[in-house]
Amino acid sequence: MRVASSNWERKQKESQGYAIKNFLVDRSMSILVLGTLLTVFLLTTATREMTDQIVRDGALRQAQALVQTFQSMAFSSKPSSLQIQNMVSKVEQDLKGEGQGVRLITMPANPFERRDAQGSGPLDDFQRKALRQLNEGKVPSFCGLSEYKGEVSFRYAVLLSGPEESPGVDLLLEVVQPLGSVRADIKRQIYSGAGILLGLGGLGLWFLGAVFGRLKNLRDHRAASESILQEQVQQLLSFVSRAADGDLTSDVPFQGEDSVGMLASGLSVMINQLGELVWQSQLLSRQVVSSLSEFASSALRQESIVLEQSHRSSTLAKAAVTILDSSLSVESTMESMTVVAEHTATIAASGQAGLETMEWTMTQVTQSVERIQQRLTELNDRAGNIGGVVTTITRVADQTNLLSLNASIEAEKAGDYGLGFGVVAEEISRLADQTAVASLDIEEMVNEMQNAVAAGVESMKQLAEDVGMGVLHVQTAADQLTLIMYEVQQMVPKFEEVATEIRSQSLLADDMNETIQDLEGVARSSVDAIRESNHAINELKCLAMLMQGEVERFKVHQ
Amino acid sequence: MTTPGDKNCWRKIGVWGLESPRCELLELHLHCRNCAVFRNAGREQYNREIEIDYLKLRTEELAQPPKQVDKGRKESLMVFEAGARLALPCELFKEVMKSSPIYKVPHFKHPAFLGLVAHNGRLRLCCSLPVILGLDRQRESDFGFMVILEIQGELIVFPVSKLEGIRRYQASAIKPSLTSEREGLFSFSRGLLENNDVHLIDENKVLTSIKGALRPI
Amino acid sequence: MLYLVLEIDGECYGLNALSVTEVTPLVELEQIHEGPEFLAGLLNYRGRPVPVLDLRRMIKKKPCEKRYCTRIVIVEYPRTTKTLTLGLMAQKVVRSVRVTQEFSPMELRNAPYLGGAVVERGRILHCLTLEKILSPQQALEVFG
Repeated sequence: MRVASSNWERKQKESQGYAIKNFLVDRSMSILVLGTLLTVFLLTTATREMTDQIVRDGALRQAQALVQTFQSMAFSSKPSSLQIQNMVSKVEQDLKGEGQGVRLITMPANPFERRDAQGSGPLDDFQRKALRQLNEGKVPSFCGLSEYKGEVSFRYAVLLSGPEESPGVDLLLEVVQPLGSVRADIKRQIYSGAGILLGLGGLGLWFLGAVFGRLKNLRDHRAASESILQEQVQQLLSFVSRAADGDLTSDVPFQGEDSVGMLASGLSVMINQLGELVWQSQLLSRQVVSSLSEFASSALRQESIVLEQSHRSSTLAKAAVTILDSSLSVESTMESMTVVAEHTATIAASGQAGLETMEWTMTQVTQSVERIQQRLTELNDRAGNIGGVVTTITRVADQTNLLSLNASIEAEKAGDYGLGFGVVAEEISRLADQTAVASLDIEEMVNEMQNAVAAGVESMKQLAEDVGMGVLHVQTAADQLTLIMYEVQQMVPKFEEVATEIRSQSLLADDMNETIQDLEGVARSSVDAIRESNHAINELKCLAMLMQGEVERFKVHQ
Repeated sequence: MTTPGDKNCWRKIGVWGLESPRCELLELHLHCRNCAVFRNAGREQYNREIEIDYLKLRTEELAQPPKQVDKGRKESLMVFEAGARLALPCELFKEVMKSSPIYKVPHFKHPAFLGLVAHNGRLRLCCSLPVILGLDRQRESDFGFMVILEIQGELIVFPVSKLEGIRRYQASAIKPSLTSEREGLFSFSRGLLENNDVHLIDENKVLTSIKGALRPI
Repeated sequence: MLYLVLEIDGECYGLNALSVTEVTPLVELEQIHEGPEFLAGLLNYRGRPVPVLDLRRMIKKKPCEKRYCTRIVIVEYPRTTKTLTLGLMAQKVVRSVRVTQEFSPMELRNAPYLGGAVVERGRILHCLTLEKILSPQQALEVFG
């Protein structure tokens, strides 16, 4: 427009340049309108995403406030049904102040109760998940983003234990805050701002269009009475040229009653009015730029907040993953411990069996030792009996000796007749002596044998004692092994219990991880949205500043 | 080291001992039985203190008056077993010896003639008394002893299964056998002893029977 | 000549075998309380009472111990016109010995019963003279 107005006087002699000028003047309007519309559309889209984020943020804050109320409710010891009613109504009261669309849903946790209760249909996914988690008692509360009655809502649920008089009638309390209501508020505000901006832009453009329209008429008129009005037109042209250059402060060079003078005075009025309008536009555009700057800075803050939140949730996610890993490793350790414990029990059982065999064997040994002792004692008795035999042999030897003496005496008395008999008597005497020696030898042998047997009996007694001690030791060991086996067998189910618990905990961590990842995704998309909105705002700001620059070019009376 | 005269030297360095060197006295005595050490050791055994009950027993024995000896004629008979319980006068017995190998003689098939037996460096006839007496044939396992009888100057060996011992009988104790019996054992019997259980054999008839058996066919 | 050897505390006393009736084992003797010390008691010898002298008591002033080898030798003791049966109890009577040499003569006032000595297999053998085994006074004490 500036180019067109500055070159207008110079190029009016050239018919070709004149045509181009006309074209530009005709099209500039529509280009302006289109640009403004595009800007407004971009602004609207960016604003919409930004509002969503703000809404979620706000909903989260509200929910966090509610969490504490519910937690205090849920963990107070077994409230009565009246207390529950009071609490519920109080929460409902509180929620009314929180915003449009925020509501409290109470639902019996028991499926039979639920079937009887009015207006409660089947549970949706969120409620089922919440009920499962809460029923297991692993988490105090459950929250997430989910659709409720066709609206994306932030939902927060706790399980309220039933009244003391009827245990098992637990209530699932749920706060639903639809994101749409908040979004509408903010959207409305932004849209109104944008409308004002659009109106102002339109008004400015309309004035420019009017000016250009007048200028066109003037040009047509001049073509008819070129020669007469040359001077005046020239003057007016310079005046208009100044105005076109943006100087709306100069006065009309002349005034008159003729058409040119009328034109001049009209032009003067128009320029003045235009100046006023431009001044107003300047004011407005300054306001728009400043408000957009604020907007941009607040969007930046928002981005940093969301980034921080995203960072936190990623930290949380890491922690959850760590918990998951550690609980998995604990679980596997528990399982291996169970296996080891069972193995230990098996080994102990086999050890016990071995000990029983050993005990049996030792008992056998003890019995054998007793039998041997008995035999040895018998042997000793027999050996003692041999002593009696020795006495008999000694007596026989003695009697034989006596016989030989008498025989030799008789032989001597028989004289020569008894000589042979004397020899026999001598032989008998020798026999008697040999018998006596034999009895001596036997006696000594018996003594040796008795000594050996006595030693044997003694060592057998020692052995019996040792074996007895061994049996005692083995019995003690067997008892201890039995105890170990009992303890280990007791341990196995405990391990399994712990493993089960850990498994459920890991499931929980898994869920938590999932939720956190959802949250992280939301945060990430929020960051993206904010960035986009930032970008849009910056663009808008640039446009506004451009517009301001253009508007500022006009010199106007302050 | 054991020296002669030590306790049990005969079992250590004597004939029953394993210790070396062996006893020098063995060279002299050949056997411990001949050694004074051995004999004295045996005689030392008689030094034992006597038991009271044994003393009393012997006192009673010694107090018994001697048995009244029958003044009538007595016969000393050797009672033995060979197919049946038999008896022969003691003076016929030249010697009693342990069973010796019998050398068979070819061409003498008579069952009563068993063969030849070596005695004191000479060969003697060996005959089966039960076969001669018409009793069952003797088995060689029953040959416990061999008795050498001198009948009419002939020395003949008879195997017997058991020797019961020498007994003295009053002449009246020997009952004459039935003269009507002319068969088998009774034809050789001179009389019966001990409730008709033991036959006193007529040795002359036995010799006649042997001579008949040895006649060349 | 054959001699029956009577040992008393290691000393050997020989008694001519021809003068010996029988050797009997040691038996219980009937004690004679009023009798002399050397009289061991009365022996019931096949229904006959026979006085028994304790040779150990006579020679060693100690009574015989009761052992298997302690025996009583029955002898015929010559007394003036007739012989009297007498038992001699000695500590150890287990052997007889044939003596071929002459006994060296001996005459002891305190021991008249020793009739000489001879060395037999390295040991001194005293010869007992049966007639003098009791002094006349002792014979009186026993036989009256």
